[in-house]
Amino acid sequence: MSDEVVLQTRALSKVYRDFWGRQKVRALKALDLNVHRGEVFGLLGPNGSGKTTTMKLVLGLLFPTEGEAVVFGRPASDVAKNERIGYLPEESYLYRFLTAEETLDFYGRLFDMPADVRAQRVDALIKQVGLDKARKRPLQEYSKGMTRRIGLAQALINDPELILLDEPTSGLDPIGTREMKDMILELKKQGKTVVMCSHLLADVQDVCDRIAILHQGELKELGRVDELLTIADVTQIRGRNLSTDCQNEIRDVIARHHGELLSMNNPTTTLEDLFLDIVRDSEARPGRRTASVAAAAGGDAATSDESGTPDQPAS
Amino acid sequence: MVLERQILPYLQWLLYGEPGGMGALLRFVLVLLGVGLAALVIGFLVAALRYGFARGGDMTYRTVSGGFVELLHTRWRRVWALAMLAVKEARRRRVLIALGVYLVILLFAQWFLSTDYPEPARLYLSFVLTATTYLMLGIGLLLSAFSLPSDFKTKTIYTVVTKPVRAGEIVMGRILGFTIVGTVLLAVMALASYVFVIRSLDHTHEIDAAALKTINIGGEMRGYDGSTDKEMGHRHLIELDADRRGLAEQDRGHVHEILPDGEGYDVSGALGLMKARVPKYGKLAFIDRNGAKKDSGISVGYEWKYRSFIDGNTQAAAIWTFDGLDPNTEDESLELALIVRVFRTHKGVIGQPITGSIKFRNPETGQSSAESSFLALDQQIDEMSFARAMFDPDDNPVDLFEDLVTDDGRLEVIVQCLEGGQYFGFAQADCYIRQPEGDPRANFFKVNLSIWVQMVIVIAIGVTVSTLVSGPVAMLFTASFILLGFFRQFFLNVATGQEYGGGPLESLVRLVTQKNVMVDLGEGVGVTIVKSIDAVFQGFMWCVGQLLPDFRSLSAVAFAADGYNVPWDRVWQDLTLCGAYVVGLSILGFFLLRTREVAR
Amino acid sequence: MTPNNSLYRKIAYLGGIVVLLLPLFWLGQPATRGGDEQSKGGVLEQLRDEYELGQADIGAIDPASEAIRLATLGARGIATSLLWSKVNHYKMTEDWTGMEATLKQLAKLQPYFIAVWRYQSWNLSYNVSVELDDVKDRFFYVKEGIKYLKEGIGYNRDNPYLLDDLGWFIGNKIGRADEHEQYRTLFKADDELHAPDARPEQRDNWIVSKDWYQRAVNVIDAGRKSIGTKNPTIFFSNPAKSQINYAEAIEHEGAFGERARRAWETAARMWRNYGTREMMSSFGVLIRLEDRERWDQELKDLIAELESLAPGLRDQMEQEAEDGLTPEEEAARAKTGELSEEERVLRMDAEEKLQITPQKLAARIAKDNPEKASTVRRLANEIDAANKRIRMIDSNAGVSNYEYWRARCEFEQTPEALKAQELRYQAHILWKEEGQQREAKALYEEAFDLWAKAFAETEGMPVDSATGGDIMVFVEEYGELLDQLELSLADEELGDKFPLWDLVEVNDQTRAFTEALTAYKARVNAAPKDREADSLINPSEALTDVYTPRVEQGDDDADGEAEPAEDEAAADDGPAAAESE
Repeated sequence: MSDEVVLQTRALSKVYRDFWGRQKVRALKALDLNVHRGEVFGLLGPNGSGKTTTMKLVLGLLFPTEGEAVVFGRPASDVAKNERIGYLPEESYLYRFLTAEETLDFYGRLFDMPADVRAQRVDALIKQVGLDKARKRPLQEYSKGMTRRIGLAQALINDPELILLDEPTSGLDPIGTREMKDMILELKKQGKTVVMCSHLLADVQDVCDRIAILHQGELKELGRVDELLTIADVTQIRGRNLSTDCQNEIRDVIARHHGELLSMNNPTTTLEDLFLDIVRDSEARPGRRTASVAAAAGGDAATSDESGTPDQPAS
Repeated sequence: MVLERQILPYLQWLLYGEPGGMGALLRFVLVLLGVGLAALVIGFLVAALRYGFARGGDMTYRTVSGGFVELLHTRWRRVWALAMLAVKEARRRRVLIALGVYLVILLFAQWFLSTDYPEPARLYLSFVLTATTYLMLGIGLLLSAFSLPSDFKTKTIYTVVTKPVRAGEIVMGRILGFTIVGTVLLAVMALASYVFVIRSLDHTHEIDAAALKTINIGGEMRGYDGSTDKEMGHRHLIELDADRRGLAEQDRGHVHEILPDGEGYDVSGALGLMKARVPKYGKLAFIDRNGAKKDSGISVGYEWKYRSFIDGNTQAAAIWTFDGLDPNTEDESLELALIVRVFRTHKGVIGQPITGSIKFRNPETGQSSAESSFLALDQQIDEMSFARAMFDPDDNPVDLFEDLVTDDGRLEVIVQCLEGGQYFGFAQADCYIRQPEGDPRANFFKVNLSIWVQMVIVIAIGVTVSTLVSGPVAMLFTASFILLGFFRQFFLNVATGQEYGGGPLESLVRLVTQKNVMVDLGEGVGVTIVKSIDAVFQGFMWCVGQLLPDFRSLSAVAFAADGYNVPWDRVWQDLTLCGAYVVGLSILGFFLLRTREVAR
Repeated sequence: MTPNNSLYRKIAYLGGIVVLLLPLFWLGQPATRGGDEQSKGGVLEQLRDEYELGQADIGAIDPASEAIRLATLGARGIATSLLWSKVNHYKMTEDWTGMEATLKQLAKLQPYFIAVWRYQSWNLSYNVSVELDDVKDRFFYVKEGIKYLKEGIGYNRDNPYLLDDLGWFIGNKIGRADEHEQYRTLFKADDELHAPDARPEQRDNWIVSKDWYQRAVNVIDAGRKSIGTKNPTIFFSNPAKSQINYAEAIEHEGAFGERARRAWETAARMWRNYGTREMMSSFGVLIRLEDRERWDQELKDLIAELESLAPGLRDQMEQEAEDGLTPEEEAARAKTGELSEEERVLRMDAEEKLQITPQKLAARIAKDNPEKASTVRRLANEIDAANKRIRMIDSNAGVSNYEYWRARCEFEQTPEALKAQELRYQAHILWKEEGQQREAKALYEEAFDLWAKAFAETEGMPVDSATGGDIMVFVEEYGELLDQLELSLADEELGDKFPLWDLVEVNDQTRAFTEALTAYKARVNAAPKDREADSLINPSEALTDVYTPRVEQGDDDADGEAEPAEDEAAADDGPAAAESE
């Protein structure tokens, strides 16, 4: 994570007024944010906290009442900044009568890409998001997941440096969610900056470097995920093949050092991992799942204590 | 053909305008400045109200300056992409149904049109071209008014606006896209209507060979004459030469060629149904009955002031001065056409036309030819041919081109009425020199081009308005624009107080109190208040009137219907006007879109 | 809800629907025709038939009209207003083709609105036609108006207004316009306006006009429609008038003898039928125009009966009245020459006093002989009623000029009149086409003699009528001919031979014969007439001298006799006066 500030808001405020100029809703109150190059930044908050408003202000879709938003050193209302950013909106705001190819081609043209470059990028992106089979079908025939993927493709068509994602994982099934998260991490590896807003906390936790928590238009907390979430005074130890004796010894060591043993037991895998395993497995080996199959599937998620199939009682 | 306003040469129209008026370019610049200034003031006031004076002023400045900078960054690839998008969208919205509607109209037209009239071609052409005009304007309206607002509603605009697309490109792209769709539709309709007209009007006749009479002159058989059978409500007189070839004489605006076919005859289809006469107009002046020069003749009481009249059997005369003739031409004759409107104060000899005289004069030397008389065909085009070898009133030979045309190409044609108590009525376009006829198909194309121009203007208005308001509102606004555009002259007359009945508020008062437009409302405080409010309204109306396109005068249907060529000057003028509207409206639309909060 | 309940409910609804269908069927079933089965249809259909409310009863049903009315989507009123203003615009800018096409569209939108057909057909035939200069073009538009009206009749079969209008257009516009010669010829020759098998006589515009008028009358007679606000006196006279016009027209164009006589005979018969028709007068009472003589006679009988009750009383009363005049009244009455206003009033009062009306007579009788009072009163009432009846008939007869035309038909049927027309026509041909002036002159003179005889023979034929005007035209022709021969009616020989001086005196509007007339009168009358004939006519004097209105004594020959009487009286005075000077 470099020190270059890619996105900055200074005292950004937005007040929605009605026709007569009277104040109706104070959506954002004096937000100050800095996003650095190469990091994945998360905007968290409950519904109505101002996350989407912030995003729209940054994109230039709304005009701030006070303060300003600056992207790559240019004001948010400057259209030229859009050359270097990509935006994945919450719903699919794409033309439903175009096919996937046509959509990407259209947006590519909007970036003034020459035809050959465009064709190549369109092809690459379609394959990258896995829509190769459906590239000639109009978007109105797509499922939600496919729509999200094509949306992501159009956000990446210009190989942007900053990508803004609005609720990227909401409404996706676990596989889609996983793929989206992998994609975000991939982007980070490529050195791009990602700003995402979401209320799905688990997903944010998985991918973001820094988060900001908004509530009723105000910034409540800002910082690195790991720092924020680390519980400072508790140590966690994970070990494989620890015998009962070893476990007892550890218990003694802790007691000797006047520490408090909170728990020593088998950790759980995440439901996500289990689910993905089963699905992956099912695709590779169709048919009923038996104990031997499960054992063969294996995987580092299982510990020695894991029981077999639901049919058989735990031993 | 009725030509209420002379068509000026293109450069004159652009730079100088009519005598006493201003050139089109200057007018465009003034309107643009006016609108720009008004927009600036309004924008500033709105911003000031919302954000305070300082910030409002700052915002306005940044909007304006930023806007101009952005204008320079227009990329045609983006415009083209947006245009193609608009085309696809139009196709999705099943715009081709319009062609189906047109087909239905043509099919049912047969119920209401018939070929029984004296000028069937005029009726048919005017019908199909007017139907095309209305349909194209309607399509332009529906396409353009709903497109952008639907983008806003479905929020697809977000993904577009967050790309480096300039607002002007969005506006221009849509205008371009809809224009392309409209052009395709118009081309199909033009073809269909052309085929429809030709097929409906084309016919042939039969000739009964036995019923023909032979013409014998001096004992020699010179030919035959007779008449055709009655077809489509008319018959032609025939004149054949000794080889049994000839012509079915002009009736209902067309002729047929006749060739022998064995024992009988083969009559061709109708020829000359659609014409494209190329007139060369002159300037008209009058001399009244006492010999004094006047700008117009007298009125005989007609409501329509297009024509004015000269007295018969007096010094009254109508004089046309033609310019641009070639005194050194090799032509053997001068082809002239004259349309006379005859007005009788007494019946005279019933069944006999009124006699008039026509002569030519050199405006510089005053040398003139002898009068040659003609019988006035009322309200028809009388095509006369004058051989260049003429005689002057003293019977000396005189050459039309060498002697009577000045060195700089001017010639006077003087027409008089010879019967006392009868009057001839003329307008400037009633006498012209006939130049070789143009191609009627090209002319049809040019008329359709004028329809295209009207459509593009409507599209531009629709797209511009729809940047700001929702679909139905945009549609109403554009529809009002179209409607007012058709009545622009009336609208401006009301705005400048030339119409009876005052402005809008006064008209309302008159409606409610049941006073017609000629009744004086009297004095009084109420009346003064009403009139003052109306003055404000009328000022506003005048401003709007400057922006309105005059659809009535843009329509070139009369040219095709009456069989006259649309001069290229007129075509260029129309296209320039179209360009002016597109450019101006694009700029306006650009600013409107830029200042709009997309995500609101 | 148990399934059973739901099922029962559905069955109940279904049953209800079926039950409702029966009365619907009974009410609304359309009539079926064709085949063996001919059902009259439901109640509504029968009612529609009975009251002739169906569209088919009004006239033709036109799919085009239905279609365009539907296509306006309820905005028909706006559409028609726009079309009307378009029509006016086309008329103003002299675009006749566009105007006519728009009129056709208008008609399709409002086929059952009579005013449209009437107004626009009149617009075409009368307004547009005169804007064209060539007679053929004018006729074209007259014809277009007629066709338009016929189309209207197609949609509104029995409308008496349209039928009457059509008769008017075909009769009056074609037959009476300045261009009537050309129009009549073009009308006869036009195939479009006649049935293909129509004979030449049937193609005459007056005959066709008569047919249309007759159709209109038939519609009223059959009781299918009401006459509305039309004046029945004129309405019912139209067919006969057309026949009369036909007879006049063919005589003008060279048909004489038996053909002309037959035409006039038909005209006389039709006119008399018209006279015996019972019509509504403007006073709300049914009258017959032919009854005039009968009522006259009745009045005379009643007055005679009244006078017989007191013979000699009338003369006695007259004497008393004359004795009772004041000296001023007597002086005013006796004065000749100019009267002052006061003197005029006095004179009128005197005349009134001297007039012994039946009412005065009856009152006097009743006063003198009370026992006869009731009889007298009855007689007086009946005399009143008779007078009223006569007045009613007179006023209506005046509207259609019943008596004159009856006399005219008789006049024209006389062999003298028929021959006179023929002679005049031949004279005209001889003169204009063959240049035989002397022979023409002779024929003219023979014709005039015959006419004078015909005038004398026919009762009730005044010289100041339209006939006089027509014959005046011939006299003018004769005058022109005489000019060419360098003769004049002022010449003694010709002037004395000329039998129609009274006619000339009344009808000479261009005053071409004043000189000749004066000369003639000078030869026949005394001097004072000369001066008065020369000076500007004093209207009131002109009336008393020349035109004697019909007096209530019912003396028909008053006009014919007044002149000769005066002439004779003057003639008596003449030589004496001339001698005394």
